[in-house]
Amino acid sequence: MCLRVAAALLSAALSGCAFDNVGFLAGKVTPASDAVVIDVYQLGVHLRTRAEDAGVSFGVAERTYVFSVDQAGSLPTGWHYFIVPMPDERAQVLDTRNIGVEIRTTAPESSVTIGYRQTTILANVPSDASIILRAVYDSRDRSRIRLKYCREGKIC
Amino acid sequence: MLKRLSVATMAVALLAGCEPTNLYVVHTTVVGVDAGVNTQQTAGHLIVGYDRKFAAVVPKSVPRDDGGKEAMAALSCSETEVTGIFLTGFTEYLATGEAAKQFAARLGRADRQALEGKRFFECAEENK
Repeated sequence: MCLRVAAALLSAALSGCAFDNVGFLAGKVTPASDAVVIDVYQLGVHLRTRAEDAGVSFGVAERTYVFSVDQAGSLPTGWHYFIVPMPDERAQVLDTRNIGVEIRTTAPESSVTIGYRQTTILANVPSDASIILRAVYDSRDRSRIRLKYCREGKIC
Repeated sequence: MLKRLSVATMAVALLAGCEPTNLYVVHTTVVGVDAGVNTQQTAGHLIVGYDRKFAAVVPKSVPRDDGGKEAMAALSCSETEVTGIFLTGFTEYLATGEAAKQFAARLGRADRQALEGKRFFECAEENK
């Protein structure tokens, strides 16, 4: 079994492709204030099925996901290669930068981009939710990232 | 560096067959060729060159407990930092649903709860 997984990872790496958080990619998990930041760097083809980031990209990509501490649980911090730990839940903040071809199939818009594309989702909240959110994001300084996400209107 | 500040209280009450089910606050910057269509497939675009968009997509209605529908309540404030053509940072304040209604009510008062609300929603105090 381990041999098969290793072979699959090796073939993915050699062909430069990734599926969600597995394949030819590297990621860094960084704790922040009430948040966990996951940076994913990828080269080649990347097929993604996460609800907030579904699509396919070809080229060079950097994707940053910000989760609340509750969502992230106890993810191992630091660098990860070929398999980047990622919560199943929707990220509260998403910032993606891609050079190459980017096909996005997510709401509120599906798109195809050839060239450079940066997509930043500052908030993505279900219509029937009663929440209070405060998100501070800085793509150059992870130590500035903060997240407060409170349900049912409680100030936290 | 360019800072943009927008404050909006949004309440929309229209019924539509195929409307977004989530509230989105989204930014995109594109250099190259970009083609897209919204989820309702009622609008699309084709861009060649450079474009930057900042948009909030608000569901027109939300279901009520009694089976009816009502306007979605949202209180939102976004501060963005742009360096060159790149969005480098932002601060997003958002309250939705019952929380937004309670928050809006608190902000108009002068008691301890109002103070807590203003501390959390700093932009409300700045834009008073």
